[in-house]
This record gives sequence, structure tokens and C-alpha cells, in this order.
Amino acid sequence: MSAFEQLRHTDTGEPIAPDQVFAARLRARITEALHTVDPDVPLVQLPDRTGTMTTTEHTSPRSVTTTPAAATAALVPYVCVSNSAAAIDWYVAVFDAVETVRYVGDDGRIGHAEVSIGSARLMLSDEYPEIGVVGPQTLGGTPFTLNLNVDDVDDVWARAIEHGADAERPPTDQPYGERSCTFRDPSGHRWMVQTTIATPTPDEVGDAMAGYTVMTSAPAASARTSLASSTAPVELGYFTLGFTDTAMASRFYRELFGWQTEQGNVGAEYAHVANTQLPLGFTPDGVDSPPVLYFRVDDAEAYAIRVRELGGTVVSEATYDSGGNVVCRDNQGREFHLWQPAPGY
Amino acid sequence: MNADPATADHGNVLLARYDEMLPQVYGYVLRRVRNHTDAEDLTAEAFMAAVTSIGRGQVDEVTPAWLIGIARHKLADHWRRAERERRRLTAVASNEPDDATDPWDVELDLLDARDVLGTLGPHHRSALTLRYVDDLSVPAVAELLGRTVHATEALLVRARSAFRAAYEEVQS
Repeated sequence: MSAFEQLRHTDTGEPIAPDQVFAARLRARITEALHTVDPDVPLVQLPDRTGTMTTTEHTSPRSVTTTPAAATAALVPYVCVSNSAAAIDWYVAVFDAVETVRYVGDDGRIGHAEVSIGSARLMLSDEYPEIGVVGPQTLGGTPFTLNLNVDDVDDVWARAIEHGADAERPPTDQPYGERSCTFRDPSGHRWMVQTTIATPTPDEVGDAMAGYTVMTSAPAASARTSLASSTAPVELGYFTLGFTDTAMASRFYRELFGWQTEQGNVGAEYAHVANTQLPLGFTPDGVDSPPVLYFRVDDAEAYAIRVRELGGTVVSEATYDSGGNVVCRDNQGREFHLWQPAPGY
Repeated sequence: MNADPATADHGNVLLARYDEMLPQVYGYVLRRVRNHTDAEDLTAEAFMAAVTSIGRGQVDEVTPAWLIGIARHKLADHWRRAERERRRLTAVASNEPDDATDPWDVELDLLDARDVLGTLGPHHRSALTLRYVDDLSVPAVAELLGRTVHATEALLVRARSAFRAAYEEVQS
């Protein structure tokens, strides 16, 4: 057999799951293209959104989480490196960082630069030994670790090593619910990068980690009722707008904002907007109905208990394909929904 | 909605099997371009072309193999674009070596072989990938690349030499 005939075996033929955001957007595009041909409406040439989508995927990191900026902006690491330009290139290659600003001094040194990594910010500068600003290579070590949450720690680890990071600990599942790795970047900074894989209680973590007692700001017994102190702030996960004619609304907002709608599985009148960062839906409830807000929680039942404790009321509970849903009113009567997403939502 | 019931059926199959077929198409493409961004773009192009074909009623059956066939065309286009780009950037070397007449029957290290394929120019990579990795006939490769069979054979000769030279360098 000639060597070239063996090339066939370089293809294992195995399926590879692409990035979930990409998969969801492509599905929305396909759905839109298959189902929105309405013979009664003259075809309108839509602006080509393919380019927009591609650009987004170039600049928005694939494997880096999008924790809202407000949650991380209060404390921003400002690191010193011997070569900021090279460090920025490295952060772009490994973390999909986006350079946002660079101040180049007359002496050629970079006095200040910033990159975004997902929604996190990192500031950096070259060394200015005359004022005591020096990097880990000059110091011969670093006293701190930069900690980054990503969607796929193994992917980031592979890229870091490929681009010359010094491996310290490869991705490993940790009892505190993270799959975590540590490495030093070529500038000498130590990174701890992880993906959340579970959310154990403090007691569970303590049991799994011999030699440690885990203490949190809330005693373990009342952890359930102190949701707000132990987890990230709850965010809006979905909202709906009411219209007299949802098909008309779909066309209007497609033209105006480029929203691509698909039919939901809760009725032909319902339209789901699938290509926005925060998804939303159109309901046939009429334009006078208030928007319905769905707050995304990891344990709707726990939050419902907390609603009552705080003087609010629980109106109804239901389970849909998209997950658990609890309609609540706060202690002034304002209605909102708690949504505990089903896997995949 | 689409009037043609066959079109609607094919569209439904495409959506119903999307989760199963997407990783197959994406995997096929990613192994050939080895870069997530290009793989996503080409996968999306393939699926959207599939939707267009369905809309035109040109489809017999929606299967993974059919989608991979479309993806293969998109790949060939992609390599052609890349090759045009490369020609603009560099003068084409005129002294590419002739095909070695000996059959070169070594046992390939498949990981190295895949890496070497990735380092070749787009024209060589596309010819070798379609001919050997995808196991297509020379006329089929010629059609995908938009070349004559003769030109494709000549291209394959040069591509094999380039591959062998690069592979032997990696191995040494």
C-alpha cells in the first residue's frame, strides 16, 4: 500500500460538537430560512447578517464566560510585563482577548494597555523600573494568581501550552465544583483557569477535602435562605413583549433590529427571538400587556421560599420544556417570574 | 409557509436531525481546516446551501452524507479562495520537484501526516485531501477543484512531492 493511501486514516470520521452558541445561531438561521417564506408578503432583501455573526464570533471569545461586566469591574488587575505587545498577542491567541487601548510612549514603551477577556478586564504596562514598576521576570517570581472562568478549560489549557505557557497543573476536577488548571504565561504571570462543573454545598466541599473546614459568610444550615450572599446576582434570563399580531411584530423588528424569530412550541402565535444575546419572545397578549420578566435562577424552589420570607407571594408554579417556572409578586405586588432553565436552555 | 409538501418535509428532517448531523458536518470540516473559525463559517455555509437546495426542490433525501457532500464543495471553494490569496502574496515556485517514481510505501505516522497536510499550501492540501483522505477519484477531484483531469493529475504529482518532502523533514 502506498503511503498516500494511508492518508484516509487521518480522518477518524467522529462527530465533533461545535460551540453551542454557534450551533444555536445556525439553527435559528436555518429555521428562519425554512419557515419565514410567507407568500402574502413581498420578499424583502434583508441586510446580510452572516458577516455580523462571523465578526461577533471572531471578537467574542468562544471559550470565555460572559459574566456581566458590572460584576467584575470593581477590581481590575493591573499587571506589569517586560513586553506588553507580546503579552497582548499572547492573551489574544490563548484567551481570545480583545485589545481595547494602548498608550505608546515616546521611548517606545507601552505605558498602559487594556484588554477584555470575555467580560473581564486586564490592564498591563511595560516595566518602568525607575518608579518601581517591574514584572515577574525581573522580580524572579509572582506573588499573585490571575483567576479566570471560562466555558472550556481544556481548550484554553491546550492553547496556552501550545503558545508556550509553563504548565503547572493540567485541568483536573476539583471537589469545590471546578475543573481547574494553572500555568504561567510567557511574561511570568500565573493563571488559574477553570470551568464550573458542579455546585456543591460548603458541607459537601468540606467532606471532600480532608484537612479543610469550609466556612462561608452564611452558616451552612441557613445557606438556602441566604442565596444572595453566596452566589452571583440573579440576572434577567428571558422576557416577552405582547403584541396584537406577533407575525407583524416579527417583520417589524426583523427590519428594525435584525431580530430573527422562530416559532416556539407553545403555539403558532408565539414567536421566539433567537439571535440576541438576551433571548426574548413575542406573545399575542396585546400591546397593552406589560412585558413579562423571567429571572434566571439555579433553584426556583429555594427562591420561591425566599420570596415568601421577604413578604412576597407565590402566584403559581409550572414546569415547561424550558424548565421550572414560578410566578411571584414582590412585597409591593410587582409580578415577576423565576425561571430555572432545563438543561440546554 | 412553503407550498411544496416535499420541501416542507425535507426542511423538517433537516431541523429534526440537526443536533445529530451538525457535529458530523462540523467534525468533517474541522479535521480539514483545523481552525474553529473557518470550520464554523464553512459549516454554516453548507447548511444554508442545503436550505437553498431544499427550497428549490432539488433534494432526494436529507442525510449526513448529502450534507457532507455540500460541505466538501464549500471546502473546495474555501481552498480555491485561499490559493488565490496565496498567489497574490507569493510568486509560485517554478521548480517544484517531480513525482518520485518509487511507490514510497513507508508506514505513515498519522498524526504527523495530518500536521504535514495542514502545513502545505491550499492547492496541495485540497488535492491530497480530496484524493486520499476523502478517497475520491481523480475526475471527481478535478470537478470539485474546477480543473481538468490532466491539470489535476499534474497537481497531484506536485502535491505528493511536496507532502513527501515536508513529511520526511518532520520525521528526520
